[in-house]
Amino acid sequence: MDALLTGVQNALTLGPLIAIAAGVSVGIFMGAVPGLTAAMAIALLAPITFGMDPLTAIAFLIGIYKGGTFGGSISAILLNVPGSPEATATAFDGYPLARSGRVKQALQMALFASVGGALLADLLLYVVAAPFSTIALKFGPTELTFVVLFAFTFVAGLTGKSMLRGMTACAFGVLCAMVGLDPMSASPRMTFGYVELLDGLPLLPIAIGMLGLAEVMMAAERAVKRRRSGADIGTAAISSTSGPSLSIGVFLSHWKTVLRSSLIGSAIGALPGIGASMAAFVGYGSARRYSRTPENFGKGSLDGVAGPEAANSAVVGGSFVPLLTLGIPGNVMTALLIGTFLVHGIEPGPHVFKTEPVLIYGIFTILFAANFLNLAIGLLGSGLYSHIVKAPEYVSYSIIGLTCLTGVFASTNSLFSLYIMIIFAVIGYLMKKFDYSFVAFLIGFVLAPEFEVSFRSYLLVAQGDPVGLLLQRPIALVFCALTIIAIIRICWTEHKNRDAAPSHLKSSEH
Amino acid sequence: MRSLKALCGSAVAAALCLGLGMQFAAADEYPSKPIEMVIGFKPGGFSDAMARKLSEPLTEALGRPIVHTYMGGAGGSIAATAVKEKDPDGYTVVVATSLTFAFNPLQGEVTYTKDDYDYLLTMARFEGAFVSLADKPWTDFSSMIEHAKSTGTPIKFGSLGPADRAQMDAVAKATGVTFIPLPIKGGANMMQSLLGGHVDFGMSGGPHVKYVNSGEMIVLAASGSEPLNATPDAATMAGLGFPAVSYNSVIAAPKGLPAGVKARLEAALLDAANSAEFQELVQSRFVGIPPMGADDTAASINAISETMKSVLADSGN
Repeated sequence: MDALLTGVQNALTLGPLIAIAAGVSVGIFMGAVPGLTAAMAIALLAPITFGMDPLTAIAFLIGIYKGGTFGGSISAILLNVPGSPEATATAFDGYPLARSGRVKQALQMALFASVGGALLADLLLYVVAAPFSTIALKFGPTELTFVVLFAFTFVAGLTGKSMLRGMTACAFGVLCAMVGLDPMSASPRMTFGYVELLDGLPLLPIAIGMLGLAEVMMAAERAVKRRRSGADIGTAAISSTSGPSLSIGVFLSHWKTVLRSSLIGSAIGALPGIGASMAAFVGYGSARRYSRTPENFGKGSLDGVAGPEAANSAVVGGSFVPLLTLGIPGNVMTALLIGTFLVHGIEPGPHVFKTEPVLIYGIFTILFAANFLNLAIGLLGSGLYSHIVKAPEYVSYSIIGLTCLTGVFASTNSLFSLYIMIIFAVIGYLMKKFDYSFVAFLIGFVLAPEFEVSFRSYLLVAQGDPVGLLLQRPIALVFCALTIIAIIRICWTEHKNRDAAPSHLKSSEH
Repeated sequence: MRSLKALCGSAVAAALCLGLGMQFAAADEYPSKPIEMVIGFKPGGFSDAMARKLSEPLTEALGRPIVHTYMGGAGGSIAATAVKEKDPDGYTVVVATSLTFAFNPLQGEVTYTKDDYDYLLTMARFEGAFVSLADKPWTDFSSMIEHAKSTGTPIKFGSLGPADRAQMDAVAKATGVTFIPLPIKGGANMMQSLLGGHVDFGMSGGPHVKYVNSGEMIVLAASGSEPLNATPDAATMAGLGFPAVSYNSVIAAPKGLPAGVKARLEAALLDAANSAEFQELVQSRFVGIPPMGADDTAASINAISETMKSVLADSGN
């Protein structure tokens, strides 16, 4: 108890609080600028923390981590260019909201959902860190296979209007994810002799190309059409106002989505190696699945912003579970944090709760405090950023196009990524033209690699008896059962909709 | 693309020179401009930390700034491919591993060979080891093989990359034991897979040391022919009569450096690697070895290449 109080007291002093505020500001900025990521900020700025005392140093880095997770959503909403990979799903509904003049609401929903998700995840971390870490250790290839399979069912509803076209797009995403070294045999697949493709196609250039640059191409086409029809040349603003603010009441009416996504994000964060991008997609998919108005998704649904943002922010708290209890980083960010911990003489692991309780409670307090500073700094900014959409179309789309190009180049330092981005912008444009869901494509692309490695490892371990192995693994069995239930539910809903279809032909189409 | 890249590169270098108010001196006064260090890893990892730490004393020794360019991916091959095309004037060096040069070309996926470079420095050796939990029914690599032979059960092996998989293929062929190789992404996930019992033993490049010290894990054997720093008593794969694979951190330049430039650069790199600050960093992570200069590094790359050839031949790939 003394340790708890001392820890809280230590954390709530001027030094750590200023460090968090500085970190959050850096994080939001790095997250919001496409091409710069919070992981990059931590890597570059970690050395300047070596001179600080441990708690202040960790406060600064946690601030960057938290701010960066929210920051990526700003450019996703304003420009349709995700600032970081995990903000990709936020763009699906955030950008349509901004286009329809509700930019302030979209930004504030992203902020509130981020903070809400992070708070819940930190609370969970505080309560269940120790027991959860032992469960997380039990997740091997068999378990992960069925976890990812279950995740696929969450996103099955995101296939667009036609199930068949959705599946085609998803399969194309899976095919693109197969590029690179075969994870088992290390022989190259579909690399066409390019050494850059050995690690596979990168997510960020593809997401930026399909969402951002493809949108610029659509806008250019609209402008040409308008000019042909003799209408006023495209000087119309995307929207004349940034719209009303989001009231607390409206936000609270989305509590179910935030809570659901927080739990998903925390759980995924605590599992090794899956990551925030997948959490965001599953959060988006589940928000749509349980929505009363799923037809609004993709056109500007606030739930569609809350779902992925709460989930990807909750990953932060979740990823601290294996970090603090086992000394195992679940993603790049926590791997960088471990490096800093070691520099300050803190060895994360099972013993750290006993040897450094004051510091651990200090870190917990900092995680909490960072959320409130994130909220305050984010709110200060959201009024400012939202003016961006008042720019005339030709100005804003020029900036979006340029941001796509510079962002992709800055993140990888290679022209190759730039070509990939442009190729996928053309593919994304064609997919939009022919009504193939690019959401389904991205989901296939994000989930496939994890599924492939888990599934093939599972088959290898099973030595020809996959069912026998499954029966020995209770956690995998639970997720297998959940997957089957989810599939039956989806089929049942489809079936009912089809029965109802003759009476309202188009309205019930998926 | 190549010319564009070169253009960008020289534009950056030129801008830097102008910005720093430097003047291009005569060519024989090497170095007369900043030196670009292409790092074959993503920023933030330990290899990056080593390169940046090394650059501090190196800057002092050469009197010119070191400019870092990150080209991570494909085990250093992306950086190596890019640097091969640069002029061999001593103003571009690449940081990668011995396997980038000695193993990846054998796989036939890259467009360079080990003979396209002038090797300058080996600055560290990763603590490559095969490790398992301490409560397994074996105590070292040989007894694990014996256990597998007597019980006939296949052994789950956590692999970090194609090199260790080829190595285990060769062991399997020599002993008749069956390994099930499971790909694991990164050392931290390897620790999780070991602790959770999802693999019986696995390859590790250093994160295992704290678990060995706490008694939870044991080192079965060093992956290479040299004893380990943290656990010097553990057997080596070479000592056990199996093919050995060493993971060294290497700095190289495009082939054809002028002799004077090469000597100056090698001397500066060696001094930097021997500096107290650099040694403090590498020894704290158990990857410190006496730094090797140009000739020793080139010899070791040749030796590793020969070993990897025989590993691939033994494994039947």
